[in-house]
Amino acid sequence: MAIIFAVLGILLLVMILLSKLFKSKEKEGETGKQ
Amino acid sequence: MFTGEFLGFLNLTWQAVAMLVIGGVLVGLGIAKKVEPVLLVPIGFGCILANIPLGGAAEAGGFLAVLREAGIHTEIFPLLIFIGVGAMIDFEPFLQRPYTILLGAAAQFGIFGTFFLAYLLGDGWLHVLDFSLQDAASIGIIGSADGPTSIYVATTLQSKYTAAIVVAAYSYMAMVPIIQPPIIKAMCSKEERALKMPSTAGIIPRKAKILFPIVTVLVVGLIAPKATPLIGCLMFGNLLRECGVVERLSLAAQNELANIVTILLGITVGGMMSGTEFLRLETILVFMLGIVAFSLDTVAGVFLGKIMCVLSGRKINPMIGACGISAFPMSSRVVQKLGLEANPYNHLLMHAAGANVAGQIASVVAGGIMLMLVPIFI
Repeated sequence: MAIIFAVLGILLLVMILLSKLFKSKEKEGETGKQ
Repeated sequence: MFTGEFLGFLNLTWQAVAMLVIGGVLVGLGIAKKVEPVLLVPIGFGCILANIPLGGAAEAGGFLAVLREAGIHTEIFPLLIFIGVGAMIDFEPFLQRPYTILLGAAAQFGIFGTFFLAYLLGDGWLHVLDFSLQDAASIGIIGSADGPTSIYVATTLQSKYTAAIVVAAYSYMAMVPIIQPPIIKAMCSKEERALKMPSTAGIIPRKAKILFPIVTVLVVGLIAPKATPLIGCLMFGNLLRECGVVERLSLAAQNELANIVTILLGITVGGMMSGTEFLRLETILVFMLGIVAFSLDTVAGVFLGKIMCVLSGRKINPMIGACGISAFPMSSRVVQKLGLEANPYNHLLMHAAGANVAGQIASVVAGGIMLMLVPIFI
């Protein structure tokens, strides 16, 4: 069970990191347009 | 010359008659009761064909044996179905609530709990039943509530009970509306069931939906390599859907591919249900352990749901933990219904769907981990 939580926990972390990356790129895009 | 026409009748054994009846029951359940008809009708019919004496359909050289060698022993059929499943799944409810992956993880507990139980009943301790380590692991994987994963793991581990395991997995997926509600109601008070969850209005960008399948394959494959074929096919199908540039491939995966392979898989699994293999005490225990697996899944999922409810300040309804099993969309509908019963304004469907599709990923990972760990202990 621990291994499943570990694998999926890492996937969750990667997803959170990617979502933050997307959000920061969107903000850059918005400030660029301004 | 005359007796040749009755050779089939003359060679009927009680096992063959019993299996012909079981095949008929499966077909009947599928048609009359609409219990997973897409699987049970071909499986039931395959069972009938395989148990007609001297018919030869399931013997060496027979067409069911050819399909078994080509599609089951090579593990191709479940993988092709997974491409279709991946093309059908919309991961947006999960991407809006990524924390549900933890509920998916918790709801795979039934796999391991049942694995230990089956192994203790068999070669591990009591030796009451003929369950080797591989058999126990394959029985446990019924708890993944996922047909292709069950077939893939049971076939790879060469379990003696593959046919029973597959029939159990598909039957219990359809019985989720019967298995889950009593457990959820016993574990969650009416107040908890009535808990409304705030709606998550976040729109997932198209780039994220395209990257998700690729990232998932890389993360899961690099940590649990044995899961690569399963997660790879699931995510390949999803990529076909989400990339938006291969519409006809996506439609073919969801329709023609999924349907053709389902027909062939169903009839082939039915062809594996021979009387001598199927009519054993162990088969009945496989079915009973399947219910144990689904129940333990539900208990563990709801238990983590309750913990997350407390930690989130009562923003997460613990019932959605039960949707961490891979039985999509049955489990989501069960939780939606229970939520509305407790509170007519409580619409949990999208939250439940998030946990449900997370469970699909978790069940594949669990299957891969099982395939990784079992050879170490043989």
